[in-house]
Amino acid sequence: MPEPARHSAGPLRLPARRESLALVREYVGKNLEACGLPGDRRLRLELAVEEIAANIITYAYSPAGSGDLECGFAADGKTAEVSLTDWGAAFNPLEKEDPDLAPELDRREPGGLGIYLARNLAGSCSYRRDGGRNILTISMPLQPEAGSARSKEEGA
Amino acid sequence: MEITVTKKANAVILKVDGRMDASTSPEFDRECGALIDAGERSLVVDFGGLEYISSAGLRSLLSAAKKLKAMQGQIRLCRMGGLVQEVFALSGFASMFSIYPGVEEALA
Repeated sequence: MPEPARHSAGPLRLPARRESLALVREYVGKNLEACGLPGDRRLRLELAVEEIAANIITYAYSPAGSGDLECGFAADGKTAEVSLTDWGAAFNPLEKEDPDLAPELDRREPGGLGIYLARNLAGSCSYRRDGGRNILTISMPLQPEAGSARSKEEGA
Repeated sequence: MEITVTKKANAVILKVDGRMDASTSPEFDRECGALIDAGERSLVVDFGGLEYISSAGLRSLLSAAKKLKAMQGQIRLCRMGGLVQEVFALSGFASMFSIYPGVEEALA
């Protein structure tokens, strides 16, 4: 019998349109459940995936929706990893500047926060350009990392 | 996401349960828009049952807050926890909104 935490799934390729977000969420949610990622880290990873996917849907293609978005999943027993691929112009969202976090309501414009949240909530994010594809990989350890504030709390 | 609306003497409470994401936030926009159009100027949003909010949800809240501010109204939030609280802290939204521990405090 396979170890429950070790799990991978065939990729899901969809049109890069807003309607596809629900299917991405379903695919990721199902796989994260199968690999046993606990609730709080599962939600953080789901959020990072939603933000990156939404960014692809809005910006990867011109006109918007004229290309595809592919979502992949793998877990090796230690880490759950979701990859998001598009075939748009080379773009590394991780190099995007942090948004203005001004506390005044009047100065804040909607948007710009998604990538920032993804970067800060996922365990780690990495980008590579490969054969005309942008591949963004978001990963989260299945267990709290040794030495993190959380594991210290748990050990106390 | 599920929204339950309760009218009080001087405010309307919107209890938002589940997930505020790109797919569900438009529903929050519609609900807030309808309440504001009906003349409501004081909204209390109860996040006690909300487990997830993405930037799409933040955008909806910001747009409701701006709309209300322009009409001398206001939006107050309460019972925030877990990831929702973390997203508010990270995004700076925690210092833009009036946030209360409970519904009673938000109504006071």
